[in-house]
Amino acid sequence: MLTNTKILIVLLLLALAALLALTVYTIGAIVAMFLLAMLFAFVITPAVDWLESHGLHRTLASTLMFLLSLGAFAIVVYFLSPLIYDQVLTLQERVSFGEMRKSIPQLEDELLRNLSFLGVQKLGLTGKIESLVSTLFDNILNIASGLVGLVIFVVMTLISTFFLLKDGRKLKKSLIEIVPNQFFEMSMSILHKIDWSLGAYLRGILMDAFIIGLITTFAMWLLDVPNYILIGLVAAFANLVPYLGPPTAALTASTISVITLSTFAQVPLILITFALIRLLDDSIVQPLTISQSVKLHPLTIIFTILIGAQLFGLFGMLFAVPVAGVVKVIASELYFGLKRYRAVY
Amino acid sequence: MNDSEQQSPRSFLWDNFFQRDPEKDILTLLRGVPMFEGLSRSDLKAIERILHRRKYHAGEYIFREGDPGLGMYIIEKGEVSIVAESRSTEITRLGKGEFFGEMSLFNERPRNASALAFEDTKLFGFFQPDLFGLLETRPRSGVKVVTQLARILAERLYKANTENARLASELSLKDYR
Repeated sequence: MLTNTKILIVLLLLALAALLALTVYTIGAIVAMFLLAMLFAFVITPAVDWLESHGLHRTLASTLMFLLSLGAFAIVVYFLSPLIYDQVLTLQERVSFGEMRKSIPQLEDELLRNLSFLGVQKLGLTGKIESLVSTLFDNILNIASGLVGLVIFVVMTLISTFFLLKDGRKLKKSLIEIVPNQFFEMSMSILHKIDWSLGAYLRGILMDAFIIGLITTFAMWLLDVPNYILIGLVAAFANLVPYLGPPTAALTASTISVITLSTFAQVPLILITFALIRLLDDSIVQPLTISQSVKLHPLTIIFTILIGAQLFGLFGMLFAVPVAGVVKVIASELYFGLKRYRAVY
Repeated sequence: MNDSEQQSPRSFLWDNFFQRDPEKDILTLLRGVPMFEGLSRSDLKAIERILHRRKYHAGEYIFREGDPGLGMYIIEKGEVSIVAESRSTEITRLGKGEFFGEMSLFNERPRNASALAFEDTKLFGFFQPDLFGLLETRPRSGVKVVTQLARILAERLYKANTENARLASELSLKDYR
């Protein structure tokens, strides 16, 4: 039988979830900015702690690490963004004017011949594919050119990151201060465990994505696949989406290869390489980087991705699983904490 | 306002112009706690930054027997009663500058007694996550604290062993008679 405390906790959690959903819906950009800042702070904090342990004042250590990260990011953007932009443009050009345009009508004729029994007269594939590809690239280029909004977002995120690095502990302490005496130790224990597990999980998935991106870029470069940096980047981001991500990255690489070289010659090798990278990720990289306790059930993953896609499109799809992982970490630490302190049985 | 709460001109002058520095008071209090012995002023300031200041009303529980332990408390003001709930007896009563719950800094085993405020009390909480944080960010200070803690616990273990041996010999003497 459910106890009153249990019902109260479930109601409280539901109210919290509703409040969170409403907040995300109404001030999504600000929430995203703060979450991103938290993510960066989680990644950089161990380095700041290390500097502090070597005698540097927290503020100085935070400033130094913040500037170093900013410098590294600026260097990556400076060298990588023109390359990626270039690769996207070249790809778009090839799709519009290259060999692929000539081969689409041939493919359409073949399809019409085979489907004559259906009475189909015209498919108009060339126009449809071109408009689809053009919309896709326009979207990518629009994102890249929406610089003003992006700059404000980045600057605000960076400022928040700096203050979270410098005053993260003070913020946590202030948060604990307002908790009533009765729940003080319990809240502190739960908050600390959430902080620890979340940090480990977020650092883990980012490290995993980074390693897979790097390996993919190197492998595609070795195989002489065009646009290898772009493919590596896609693989890194796609790695955030379990099950669906790696096949999508493999498909992207194959499509780019077919469109650019007008031949299927590289496709088998690309698919084998992606399968090997997957194997490497599952057997070596992930066990070393991501805590096994955060593993989500495949069904949860599929529904999470669908919900993410429905709410926030492509970005929702990309970040749905990490967000679900974060929610799982918080929920399980909260549950076990409450259980240990006998708040739930 | 009753008579005792009325402020004399002298105490008004004292409070407003010659008031003692509260931070200095805290550092003096911490210096008197055995586990912070030998720490420099900057170390003590670092400790003070991670302590949690809490206020409890008379009769309010600080923690209960059986709760998972998370850390220790240092009494800044007031009195704390340590009670064995299972036996309904007060084990001891502690006052300003004294501390309790230090075993929980090393493990999260259930508390073996309850602590409740005997009167309105102000405490400083020092907890395991903060001790581990101190060991990471200021290893020298952290090691000094852990060494002092180990010394205190070793002394307590020695006393417990001596007491055990004494009780055992008393029992064997009784059996012999």
